[in-house]
Amino acid sequence: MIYIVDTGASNRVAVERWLNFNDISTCELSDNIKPNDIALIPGVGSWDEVIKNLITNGQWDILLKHKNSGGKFIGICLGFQLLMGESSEGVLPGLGLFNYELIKFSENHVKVPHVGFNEIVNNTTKELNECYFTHSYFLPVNKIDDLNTSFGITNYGCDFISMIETKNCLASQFHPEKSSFGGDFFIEKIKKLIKC
Amino acid sequence: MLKKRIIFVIYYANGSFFLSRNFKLQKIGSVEYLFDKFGFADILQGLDELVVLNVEKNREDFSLELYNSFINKLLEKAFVPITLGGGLNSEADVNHKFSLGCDKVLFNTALFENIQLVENTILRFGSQAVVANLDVLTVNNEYCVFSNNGIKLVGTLDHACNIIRNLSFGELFLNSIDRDGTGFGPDINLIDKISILKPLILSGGYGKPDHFNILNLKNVDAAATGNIFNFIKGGLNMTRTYCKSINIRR
Repeated sequence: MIYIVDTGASNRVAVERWLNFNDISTCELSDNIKPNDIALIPGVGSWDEVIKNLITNGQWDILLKHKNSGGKFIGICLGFQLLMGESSEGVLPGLGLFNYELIKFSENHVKVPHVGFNEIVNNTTKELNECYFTHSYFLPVNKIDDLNTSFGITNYGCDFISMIETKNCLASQFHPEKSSFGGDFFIEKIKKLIKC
Repeated sequence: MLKKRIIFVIYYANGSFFLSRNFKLQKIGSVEYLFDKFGFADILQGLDELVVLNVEKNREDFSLELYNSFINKLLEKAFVPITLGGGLNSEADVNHKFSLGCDKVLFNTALFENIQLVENTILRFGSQAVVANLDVLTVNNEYCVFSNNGIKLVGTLDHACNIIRNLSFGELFLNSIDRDGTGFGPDINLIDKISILKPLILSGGYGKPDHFNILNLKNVDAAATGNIFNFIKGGLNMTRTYCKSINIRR
């Protein structure tokens, strides 16, 4: 089962609609979540504001417990970012599944935010996909020291990590639920994560 | 490489969608009509984004029930980015839009009359979730910005840009009232008048595929049209094919 987090500022409804349309059932995040279940953090929102909301509504605790028990995660956009350790968008610590720091695109080099369809290239398989992005903060490629993980790389002024795929986690800076056919490959990955 | 976007705008009022020409509205039909008669399901799959603007002139006539029903039916199988706007004047309005499943909200009048609401929305939902919309009309050979559905003069385009310059919204939706719905082509001269460095969506005037060659300009990130006749009967595919032929990616 996929448990969807209510961040108080997300497009949760759109993510639900997309998953349900693809025959994946969902429910709202609660204490009932087991490590083999998936906690999905949807996008939209700003870093500190969303973390504060989640602390207040008790879901941050559930997420931390889920992480500590080795549970499965899906993160989309801000949800991807919240899986990291910190972000220059705010001062509060993230969930820290990955100990990386997000930084802001430089307005001297590119228009901020990065909005629109862009390419995602897998670092090992070179598989190419195209999905919709909208974000101002990103995970720089040079922050990554782990070469065994499967990453998606995107370029906007510089290369950045747009997707992370591990045994128990699937995280995308882009919005697969907003990418029309472009998001279909992500549905396949979600189905795989559910089964494993 | 980041691709240029083609965006469709639905003008909504009183349970129906409308076509707009120089901001005069013509009723077309229900959301069912949009799908049945115009094959909108196919168009949706080929779009990069969808914007729905509530253009109800008389706010007292607005029925939340009709609006919700229209949006829910429209978005049931819409797996593209959704922006909702028109008449947003309170946090409750903004929350309501996001509860319907949109990704961004669009502000026009609030930019000049309720700046606190715009700032709070940016704080809560992030810059990327806020689109600033300027409606521009030529008055005495000068570009002027109008709010309140195009009826209230804000000032010159420069003046309006200066007012919103320090807001950290995510995108600028620049619409030409002169060109709106005419099919005469987008107003290329508007682009250079903008000194705000944000992703720019240029709207108003598109009537045939080669009008979209404006996307070749470095500063234009997206083209938005509310003219359904650009996209029906394979029109959207023709536009995409044309764009590819002149090296506009997507």
